[in-house]
Amino acid sequence: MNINRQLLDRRTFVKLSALAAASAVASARAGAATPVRSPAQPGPDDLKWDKAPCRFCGTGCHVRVGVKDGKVVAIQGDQLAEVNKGLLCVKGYHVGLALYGEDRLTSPQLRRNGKLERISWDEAIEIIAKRIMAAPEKFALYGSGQWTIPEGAAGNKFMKGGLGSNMIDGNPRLCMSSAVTGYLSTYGVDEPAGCYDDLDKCDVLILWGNNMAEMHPVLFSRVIDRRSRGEKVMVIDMATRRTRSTDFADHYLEFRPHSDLAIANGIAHLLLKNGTYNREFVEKHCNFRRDTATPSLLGQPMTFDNYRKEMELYTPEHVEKVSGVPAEKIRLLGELFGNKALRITSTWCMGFNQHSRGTDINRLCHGVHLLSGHFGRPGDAPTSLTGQPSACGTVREVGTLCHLLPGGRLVANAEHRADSERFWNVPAGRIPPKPGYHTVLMFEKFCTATEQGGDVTTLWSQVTNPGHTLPNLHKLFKAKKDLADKFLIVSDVYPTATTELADLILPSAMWVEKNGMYGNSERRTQQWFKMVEPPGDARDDCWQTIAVARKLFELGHPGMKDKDGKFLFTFKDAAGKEVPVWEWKHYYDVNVDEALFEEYRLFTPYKHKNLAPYTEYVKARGMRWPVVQQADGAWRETKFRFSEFDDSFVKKGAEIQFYHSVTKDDKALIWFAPYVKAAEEPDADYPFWLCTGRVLEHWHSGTMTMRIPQLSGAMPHAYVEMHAEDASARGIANGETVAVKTRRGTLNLPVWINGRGRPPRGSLFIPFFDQRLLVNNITLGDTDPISFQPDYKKCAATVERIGAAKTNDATS
Amino acid sequence: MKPINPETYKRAAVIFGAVLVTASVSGYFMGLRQTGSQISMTRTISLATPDPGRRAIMESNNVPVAVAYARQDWLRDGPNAAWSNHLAKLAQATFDLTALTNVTEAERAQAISERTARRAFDGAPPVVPHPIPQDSSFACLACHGPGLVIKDKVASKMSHPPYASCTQCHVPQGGPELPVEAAALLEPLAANDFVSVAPPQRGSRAWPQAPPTVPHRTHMRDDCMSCHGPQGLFGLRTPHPDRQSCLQCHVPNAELDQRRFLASLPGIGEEQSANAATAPPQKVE
Repeated sequence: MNINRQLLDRRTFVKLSALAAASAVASARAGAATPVRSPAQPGPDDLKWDKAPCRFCGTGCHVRVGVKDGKVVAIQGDQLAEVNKGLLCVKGYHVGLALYGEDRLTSPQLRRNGKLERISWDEAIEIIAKRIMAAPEKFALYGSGQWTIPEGAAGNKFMKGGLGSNMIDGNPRLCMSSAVTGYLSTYGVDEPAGCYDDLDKCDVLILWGNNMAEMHPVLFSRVIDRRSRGEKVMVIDMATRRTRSTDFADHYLEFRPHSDLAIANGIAHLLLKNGTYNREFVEKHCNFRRDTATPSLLGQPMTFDNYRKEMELYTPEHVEKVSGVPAEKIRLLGELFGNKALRITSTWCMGFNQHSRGTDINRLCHGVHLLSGHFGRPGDAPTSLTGQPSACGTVREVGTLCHLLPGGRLVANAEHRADSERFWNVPAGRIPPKPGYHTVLMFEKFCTATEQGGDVTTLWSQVTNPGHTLPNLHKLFKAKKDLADKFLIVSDVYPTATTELADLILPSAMWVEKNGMYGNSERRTQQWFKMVEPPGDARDDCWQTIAVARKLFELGHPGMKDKDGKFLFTFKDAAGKEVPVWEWKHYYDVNVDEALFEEYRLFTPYKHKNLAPYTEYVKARGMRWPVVQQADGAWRETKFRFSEFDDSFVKKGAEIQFYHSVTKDDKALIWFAPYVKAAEEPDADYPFWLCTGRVLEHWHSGTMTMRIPQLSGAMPHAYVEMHAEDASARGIANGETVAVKTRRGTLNLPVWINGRGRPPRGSLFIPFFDQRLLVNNITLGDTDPISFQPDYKKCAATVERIGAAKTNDATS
Repeated sequence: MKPINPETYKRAAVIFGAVLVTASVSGYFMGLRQTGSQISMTRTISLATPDPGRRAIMESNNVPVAVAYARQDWLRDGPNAAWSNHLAKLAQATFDLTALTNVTEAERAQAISERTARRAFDGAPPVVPHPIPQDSSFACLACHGPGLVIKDKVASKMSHPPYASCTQCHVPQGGPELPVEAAALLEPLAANDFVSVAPPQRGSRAWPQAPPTVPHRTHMRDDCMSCHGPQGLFGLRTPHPDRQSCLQCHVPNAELDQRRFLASLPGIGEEQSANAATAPPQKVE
């Protein structure tokens, strides 16, 4: 009870400070202060409940967190949240347990002579600052779609606005960047036009290589539970193996990996041939485009006639030959898209994005919707789903990639750099015009000897696990081990595959142990308050960044000063007094999140991604941008972008207006891209396709979910799925340990036949969550030429019987 | 020796034919009734100790002999005594609605501890205590749709019928049923120190005979009878299942059900200054 009281007092204090800071900022900028929520009240169950977005995927469900005696003790689905309406998935219901794995990191540790030793925070911060000071241009920051928005904003400002270095990238490069290039090259601006409301309205849901039942379960049930209410919704599962989503599908279209390119073109072919494309929509709102000889983001214009000519090849019969999907099913898709009365929503996730033609397949899917006019009405939308809780909010919007600046700006654009320098109040010319290294290149350079051109020597990874999730790990991560002058700093909450090679480990606070903001897949920005203390000496990632910046300031790094000679991260309390937030004991004296968010908010109107003041998000279960202030002062979110009936930025009478059009004429681009072969296809030596992915119970690299007994109990280890006939032909029994080999190495793991998923003959599937059975040791590192996102879904492999289990020997 | 009447041959052939047809037809339908999932469920049932009579037969010959149906009494009294694949029959409540007594404290505690063991905390979806088909949700509803009771085993009735994707929230605790030698080599990553809140206790009563309030959240517990009816755990069953309208007497709690939080919706309960003068004074709690 005592602890409870103390926490309440501290929380009240924090909130009052937040409130004061909020009022100060709000009155300066918006002219009115609208504080804040009532503090969490103890309920009849003696728990204090507060709202937070779920820690796991990009769906962005809101949970209610029950706290007692300073610990999270229960979780509920938040019935006030529009996203999930009180429902969660099994991970969400157990998200509170993610804080309490018994091996939480609780103190900074430095590797000396191969052994990790505890050190103080002061020592740790000084070590980092001195390494950066010695060679700032060889320092790289690797961030995350699990960074909160303020954490990303601080990291971006520290690197680009402070160190004057674009050597910052984030793990969404591995999961979202092809979706980004798809949106940019089609609409001229990133992120979906539609939102989850489309799922309530669509007549047809098409899953393009997207096992939604396991990966975005709450969104999936949002669709299929409509059937329980007597509504009709057709689900079409286009996939390379049968999954739980197939179980609910009306049509299952099993395609040869990579041939989704041909299927999309096959639909366009039928729309053109049957004359069922939406001529009016296309004439009013679309231009046509194809790629240049060297792939580029914006390509070159093409005429409608040329487009039509290119599509002639993709007859249903030709598509059947390429994809293995029967011509009649291609015709079915053509008919559905040709029917203007239907509302069709397409969703996709890693199947499209982790694709060596990821940008192209994204473009083609948008193209099919635009060509058929299935766009801009509720239920008619092409919508990408994200895997991380804030890949959109923190990385795509805040711009924590090596080529981006906040609010949809580019480092290569002089005007954009000048804007950013103005908002950050740093001297003109601080931001260099050359993009830094994208993720794969960053790690390649880090794992290459300095004298051989490996010009990244210090790498700081926050809130992510690259030692597990990068492809081709031997080359892109493990090679670091033998390089004495390379220094890896890892901020995390548990020991991971990445901390195994870390030289310095920093213990972080996670989720409701800190204030935070996330941005989900449907442009919804969400906010939560700190509810419990982090364990031991664990501290906020954002504090870590600011503390290092301050140490550099003290060491005299000129970049840590703004134009007025003040420290980059100067925050004032309500009385106008500067608060030394780089000292941990003062970090929560002001609401740093709010201050960073309000600064970042200045960047957002440029691409019409307007955000409301922080205090509005405190009250809401998230709001979808653009959030526009109305005449009466209220803040209104936008559900359907580019559609006049909902988006206030669209000209009156335009119906649909792509106001960031690449061609500057308010039109979107319909792209042609040909079917081409995958980067590595099965052959005589490696006759199988190998696909990797997630399972329902585990989130990404499993560092959190594998420590939750209910989840690891249900799915305790990785396995390889294969077809029973393939197994039989090799004399392999269910459960037997086999060796899966690719050109990059070998992984020994058990076979599961007719298990969770059912691949067709010639295909294998291995989930990537298990750090003891690390499939990324053998995946391919090849990337899409435009988004630089690796293809984790396709490479060539073979399976060999080894009889008994052996330790894994994954040599390259 | 009397020559055998050809009529006898004929009759014997007819009888033999009739027996053959009957046997194959009934065998065919028996086979049809045994579905794939039953086969896999029966797989785990041990028949290691057959009755003495059967064992004697097995021992007297060196090879096991198929036991005549007539001699299979042991099956009816054995571990599968309650086995039936007539779902409709299983689902029937077998007790007398009028002859129920209150459960004892010990029975109630037993039920609560059984319930608690399957959940990370109260409100978490219970884990599944048996193997499931990994690629489908539809099989769940065969038992948990109507709910069923076999002796002391309960397949509780689903309490939130609109939700169709069962495995989204309910995961089996055994994991994949694989004879995995590899799994033995894998150290679990780490244990978890999560401490759950105590399960809800009794609802409050205004006076000893007053109907208790609902001590737990009711969200997704649309059907009280899932837990408190004849198909619930014994210690949680209501003493008056004949009364159908539970919430008529037992009221849920607005705080637990998140209904108080309406005040934090944008535009509700805030910034009402324009009407403040005319609004009736609010009672302060």
